Amino acid sequence: MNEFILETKDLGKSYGSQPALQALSWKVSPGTVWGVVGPNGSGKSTLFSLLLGLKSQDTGQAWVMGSPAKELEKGKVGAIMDEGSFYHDSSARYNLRISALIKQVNKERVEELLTKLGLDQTGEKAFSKFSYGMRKRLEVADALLTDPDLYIMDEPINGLDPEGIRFVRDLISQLHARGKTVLVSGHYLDELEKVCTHYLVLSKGREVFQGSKDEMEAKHGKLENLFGGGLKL
Amino acid sequence: MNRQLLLLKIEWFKLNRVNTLIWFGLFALLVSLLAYLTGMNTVLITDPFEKQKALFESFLAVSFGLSDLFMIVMVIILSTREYAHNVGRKKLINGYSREELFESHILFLMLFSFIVIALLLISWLVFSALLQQWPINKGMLTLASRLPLLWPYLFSHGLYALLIAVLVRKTGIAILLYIALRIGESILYLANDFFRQKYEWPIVADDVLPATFAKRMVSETTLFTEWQGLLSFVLINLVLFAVIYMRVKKSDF
Repeated sequence: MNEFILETKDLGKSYGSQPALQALSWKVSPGTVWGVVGPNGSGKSTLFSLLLGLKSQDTGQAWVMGSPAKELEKGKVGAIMDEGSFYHDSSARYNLRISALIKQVNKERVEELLTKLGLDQTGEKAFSKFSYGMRKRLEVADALLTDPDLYIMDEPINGLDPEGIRFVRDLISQLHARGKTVLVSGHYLDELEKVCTHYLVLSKGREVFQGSKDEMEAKHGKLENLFGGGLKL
Repeated sequence: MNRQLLLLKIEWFKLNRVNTLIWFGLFALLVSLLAYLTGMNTVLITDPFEKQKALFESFLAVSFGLSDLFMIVMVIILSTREYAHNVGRKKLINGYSREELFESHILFLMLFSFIVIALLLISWLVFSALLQQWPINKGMLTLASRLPLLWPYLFSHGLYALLIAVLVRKTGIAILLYIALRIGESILYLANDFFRQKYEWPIVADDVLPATFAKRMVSETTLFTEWQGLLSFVLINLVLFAVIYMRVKKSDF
């Protein structure tokens, strides 16, 4: 088994002349929870898209579980992305069944997850009629289908109510307790501080800090100290 | 499970939904009904073989237009839906390669065009049985055996629709562009006729323009008049394949 579950070397991506991510070298050990933090446009979503093979990098390399990011095996990574990528006119069960077919997971697992996540009573209700919290639950169910070792969550608590935020926090804690690796991005620093063991801080596509929570606290105190912009009235 | 079989199973699962089945049923019903109405005027033909031929021609005249329109609209709606809802992106996250994404588009088109042909066969048998005597006779079956010749035509037009769908990814714009393409094709068709009469334009052009060879399909059993026509048709479809492949392969999601 590889020492690192995920590794990037000089990874870079630009949109036209605008660099979105610049020469990022990063190593993630199994069983850690990384908070990927930075202002809007800092390159968090671009980084996740590159790791999931959704975009092609301009420079460098990214390996996930020993394979190049674009050659990931089916169901090796669970992803919770900001936008719900499901058929909007179809039910939770139908959408999850499609994912289960792709990942070659049986129907029983689909039913088990629908029940566990409280989506079993939604029947034929279309995804477009789901509340934001329900959409997120379906994303979680999809990510959990194969019980993968690595989870990538792009701003998972955006738009959620306190109950939803707690649900995501508990989910990350439980995954961590089971030895899974989680990469989670977000703007709610206090929430990230509750669950993360490590941080990668980005600004304008460049790495500002990477290391463990202890290293962060020793160097900068609180996570928010890395960001300026305090208000004086 | 074999990779292609798995992709086919997923595409079938996507199609095998109540809404899609209702659309298929309505399509078959509409074809049968319109063909029945247009076939009524053959009642005066007394020779059984001539009558069957006339019925088949009137059936094809209706089913050509309808199957083409039905195919195109459904292909555009169902293909752009993959992009509008980011489902293609989800499939990549779940482990589809870009090659599999391309193959799934092509398998979907093949599956869909086969289903349309099967529906036309059923519609023809129902329709001709309604207008003639029951049980189905040999003549009806012989004529029905010509219907699968529609498949290359449907598949080729489906490729045009798929290309537009993967290029623009928006349902409305894709349908408008397809309409523009058909208008352009009609202009080419007219120009082809004009130049052939005036400058002895080669007949091969008839095999390249879908509108022309579709028209010929009604009265002839073979699609291609010259081998150059077949070659051009194959090459055009290969180019369509290649452009769709490159678009899917090179796209960011």
